[in-house]
Amino acid sequence: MTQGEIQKKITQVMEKLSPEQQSELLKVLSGSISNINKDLEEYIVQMKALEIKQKM
Amino acid sequence: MTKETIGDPNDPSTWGLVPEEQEEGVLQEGNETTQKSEFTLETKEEADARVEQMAEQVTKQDETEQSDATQIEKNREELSASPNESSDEKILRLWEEGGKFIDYMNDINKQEEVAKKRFEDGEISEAEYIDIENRLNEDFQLKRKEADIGINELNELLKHASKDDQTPSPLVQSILQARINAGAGFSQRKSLFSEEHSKQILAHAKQMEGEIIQEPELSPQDKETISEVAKELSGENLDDLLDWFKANNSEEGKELIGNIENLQKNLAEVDSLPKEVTESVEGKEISKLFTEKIGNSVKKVFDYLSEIDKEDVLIVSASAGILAAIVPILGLHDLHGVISMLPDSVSHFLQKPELAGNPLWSIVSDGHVTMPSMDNYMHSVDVFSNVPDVTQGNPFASVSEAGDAINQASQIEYEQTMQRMASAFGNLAFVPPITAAAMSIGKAFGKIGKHFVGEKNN
Repeated sequence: MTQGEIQKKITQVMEKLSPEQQSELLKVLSGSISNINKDLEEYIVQMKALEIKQKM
Repeated sequence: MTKETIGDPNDPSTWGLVPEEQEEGVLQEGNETTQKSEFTLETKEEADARVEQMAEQVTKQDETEQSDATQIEKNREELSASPNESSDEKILRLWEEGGKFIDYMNDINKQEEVAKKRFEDGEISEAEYIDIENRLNEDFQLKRKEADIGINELNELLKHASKDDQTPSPLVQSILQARINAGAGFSQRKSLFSEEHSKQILAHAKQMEGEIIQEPELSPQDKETISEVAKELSGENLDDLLDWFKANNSEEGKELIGNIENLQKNLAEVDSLPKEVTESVEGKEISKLFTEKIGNSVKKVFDYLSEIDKEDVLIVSASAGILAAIVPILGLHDLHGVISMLPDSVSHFLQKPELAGNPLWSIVSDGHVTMPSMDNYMHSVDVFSNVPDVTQGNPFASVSEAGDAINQASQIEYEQTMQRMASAFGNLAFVPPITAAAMSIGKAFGKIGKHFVGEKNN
């Protein structure tokens, strides 16, 4: 199986996902990353607060 | 005589039905025999009286048969909602009616038990007991006919709503899943129809509806355009892949891009935090807390991926995309971190023997794309079996094997294999937008793994 054939096969497989499934997946992924961002932002804030505390 | 629902639990069309021999209640010969066995010492006079009573009952039933049918039809008309009632509304209404019927059956069984006990205790005569039985049966037959119509209608609607060529609504999915989960016992099916369970199903369905945005079906032209665009995105540059979203006016895609860009900014900021702060005692405590929080968020993504696609198609592509993105960009250390985050569902997927037919393992075993075979798969097992630590990416390692000492030679082979895999995947075109997103997310997850899981392991 050539790389092109593999590529074609993967494309065919992915196209089996309905637009609804794709839409749903993108939305969930987006929401999950948004949650991770909130965690990271909180983490950064706490680390910066610690940094200030250590300097004082 | 307990009115118990019977039938194949896997065949909804049999639900709500009672055994054939019970259908005519005490009027059937078989039931009469049963009753005789329960009530011995019946005199001829008593038997004659009972036969006469039964004959009257038959006449009465004949007379009421027609009016019953009329009443049933009238009731159903009254129960039917407005002409604008949607399929889901109708399904929910019929489902709730089914629940009421089960509640009614429970109630009538209790009444029968009470009557039987009163008869056994001598509080009522046999004639009175039979009268109660007949009355309850008459009422039951009427309600059962109503329920049968509703259940048949519900089954038809569910059947239509879950055809292969359409996605069932969240409500239909919930009900079908609830039926699967209900198991074989009548008591379980009673709880299945209970008011509380109906509320749970409704709440679940509403939650799902809130999470899903229904998009119109793509036209053939749109699909062709996507396919053409996808073919052009055969390079390894993740930014090019992200551009795909920008070129296509997908709201979800735009939102995802925004979140991924924010993620990249946040990770860059995390990287810029002074080490003397992050590696201090307090800093490590904070990291530990967030490792768990962020790890859970990452896990949810993988859990979701593994749930939405029953055939694992998406997991194949997304996992491969994520692995491909992480390895060449961030190195093996980060891959270990991310793999340690994978839930069991993904680990199990990676261990499936049928993956011998997947290009993933051909690449792993041979370092290049070849025709998949069981030999390739077995070689993959051999390669990974020489890597003892499951957190280092060995999908075949057992817990007991994880304690073995690392063999230097196998470690080198493992790293070489991973690099070959990364290289091969890097050259593959993972064209669809979802996989492109997975690759971008994988890159970010790799950083998360490096920063958080890496610290956790140290």
